[in-house]
Amino acid sequence: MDFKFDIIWGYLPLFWKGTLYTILISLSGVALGSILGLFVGFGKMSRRWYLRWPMQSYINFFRGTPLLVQIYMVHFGLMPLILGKTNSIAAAITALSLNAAAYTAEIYRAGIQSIDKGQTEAAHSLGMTHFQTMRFIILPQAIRRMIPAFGNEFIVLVKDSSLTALITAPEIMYWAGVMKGQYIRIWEPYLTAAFIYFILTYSLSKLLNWIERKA
Amino acid sequence: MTSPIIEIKGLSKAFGSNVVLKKIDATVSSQEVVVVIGPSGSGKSTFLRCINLLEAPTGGEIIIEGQSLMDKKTSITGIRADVGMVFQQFNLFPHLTVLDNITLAPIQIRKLPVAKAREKALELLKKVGLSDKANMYPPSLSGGQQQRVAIARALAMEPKIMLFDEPTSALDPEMVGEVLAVMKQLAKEGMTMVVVTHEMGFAREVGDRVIFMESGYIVEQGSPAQLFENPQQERTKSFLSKVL
Amino acid sequence: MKKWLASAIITLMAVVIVTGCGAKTNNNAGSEASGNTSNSGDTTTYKFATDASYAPMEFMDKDELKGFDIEFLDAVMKQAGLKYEVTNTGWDAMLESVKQGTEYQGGVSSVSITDDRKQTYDYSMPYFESRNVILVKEGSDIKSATDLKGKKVAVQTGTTADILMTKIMGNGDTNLKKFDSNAVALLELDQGGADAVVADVAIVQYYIQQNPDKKYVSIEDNTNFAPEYYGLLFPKGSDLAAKVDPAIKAIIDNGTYAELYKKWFGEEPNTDNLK
Repeated sequence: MDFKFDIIWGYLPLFWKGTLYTILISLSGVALGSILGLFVGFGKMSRRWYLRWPMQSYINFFRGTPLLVQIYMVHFGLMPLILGKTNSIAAAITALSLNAAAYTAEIYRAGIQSIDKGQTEAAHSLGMTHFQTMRFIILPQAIRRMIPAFGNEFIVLVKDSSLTALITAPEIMYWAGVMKGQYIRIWEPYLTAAFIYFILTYSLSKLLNWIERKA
Repeated sequence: MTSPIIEIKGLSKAFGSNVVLKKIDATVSSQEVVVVIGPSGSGKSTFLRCINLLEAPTGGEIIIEGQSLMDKKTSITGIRADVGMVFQQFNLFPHLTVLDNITLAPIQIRKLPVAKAREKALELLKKVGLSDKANMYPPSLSGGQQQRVAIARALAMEPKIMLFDEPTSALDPEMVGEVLAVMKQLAKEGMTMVVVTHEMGFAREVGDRVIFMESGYIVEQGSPAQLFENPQQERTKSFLSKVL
Repeated sequence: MKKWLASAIITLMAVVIVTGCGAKTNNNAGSEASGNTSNSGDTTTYKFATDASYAPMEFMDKDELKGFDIEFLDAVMKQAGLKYEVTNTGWDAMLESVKQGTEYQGGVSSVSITDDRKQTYDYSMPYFESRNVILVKEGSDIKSATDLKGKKVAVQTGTTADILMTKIMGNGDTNLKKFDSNAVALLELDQGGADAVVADVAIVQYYIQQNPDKKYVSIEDNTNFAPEYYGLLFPKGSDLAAKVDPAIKAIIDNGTYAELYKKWFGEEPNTDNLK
């Protein structure tokens, strides 16, 4: 099989740049998504229907529609509405955050509900408020249980961020597409991209294992 | 006996269509030790859990130190802070050390300075015989040790009333004694206590009054001597004949 | 409203074509009108791949392949007296399978001839001259391709517009936004994310015509936008190019090519540069 390393060599600086953008986009996505997901998750667990219902709809929408469509909707709909024009990086981060929030909301919910009811009762019996119980008793224990699921979500997000190439966010897959356009060859750009994604996700899973052991 | 510290009037509790407590009336006086006995499913644990609103009653009234728990103006967290509770399954916080288990609530709720809270926690640990365990995590302790820590945790809030929900039922037999000893000591110091238990020896020795519950009713109550030696009701007799 | 609907439908169509279309074979084997070129002994059925997502060059009309390229290939193969069939494989699959040359012996998909690509593929002689134009808002200060430097420009990845603008703006400039399809690039212009779109004149004219309320104009720049040429794509070392080239030449000379061109683009072709 002929494989032209020389054309990859020429694209390395762009792939490097793309890698930094992939990291920026997915890291921001998981960070903002986790914060937003906290609200969505608690909203969903609320006893009040007017909080629960919208949050449940939010989760249903973002888990039930293709991420690609969400990315287009944010890029061509939401961003022009907010910024007056499109912005591919802002749209990429926003779309991934909104999507990740739906998944992390479920992680929060599952994590919190996995904590024994006796813990809440003990905290309440000492006179703690709902908020104090969450903050001092439930969340510290639940977060430890959530780490593997969060890690999994992060890894999925790194790979999903490749879809933002379609709105020209200058990440890894975008430059792979550009390279493909120049040489109209498949394997050099795609295997290079795959290799970089593998390095990213593999190091990430090693890092997460380490955090899991420490926690 | 002084004035009642807990007054319960017509307390009802239903889980869906399952009625667990049927219009119960009871009072507990200050410094009194009331022991609640009865077969499982009699509603005795639910009764206890209603006293600090871990279960919300479906009817009736609970008044603690003149404050009705049903009154919307009453601070539930404030009441709970004054009513300590010990659970069958200990329910210690596994992510905190023994010391932090005890000091968390006094620091966060009573706003006690950290140093003061620690000092007091160590005092309480000494009292329950676990001074050397302050920096350990609950899962590394035996059941009996965990339950004694749980008692210390409740006492750290300086409660006016202590509720015990089958505190020895989850323990291996050889550990029951150490927990009961701590409870006896508390009773001797004049703590107001409501104890749900199967330990008839404890009821007889420590209780000022024994309440026998069955099927959501208080069937009979009286001093241990009366109830154990001379029960009036057939159902009480039948129950006692099985457990004694 | 109607224009809005039209552009929405175009976008939708592009998405459907890119994502949804299965491989569909257009079987034109057994052309009895055997031409006057000397391939009469060859009974092989040559398989061509295409990416039918580039109207009016090649596209799917429901489940049928249509477009200038499709009819051009038919004319060429008849002229050459060769049996063939065309399948819509999509762009990536076309590139790889033509490179391997085992299942498919050729590609017909408005593929521009460039030196970079010649490292990997053989081409037929050029059969189509592509002109690119700039699409901007009325009153824009952009007057030529060089004015596009430092501006945000949207193109479709891998098109001649992409190649030309990459030369002008430099490879790696993120102001040159390369989209998966012209439909999305045009949407980017509409939503203010780009100052201009560079694309094939046929596409640009169609868009202006469909959206008169958007006040777009097209700008020609014949000095900077050197014409690009499309060729049929063959595996390296293929002998098919040699068999097909005389037929291409023949249909250009005998007027068949001009007829097709007029049918699809409504004007006479300039074939001076194709010989």
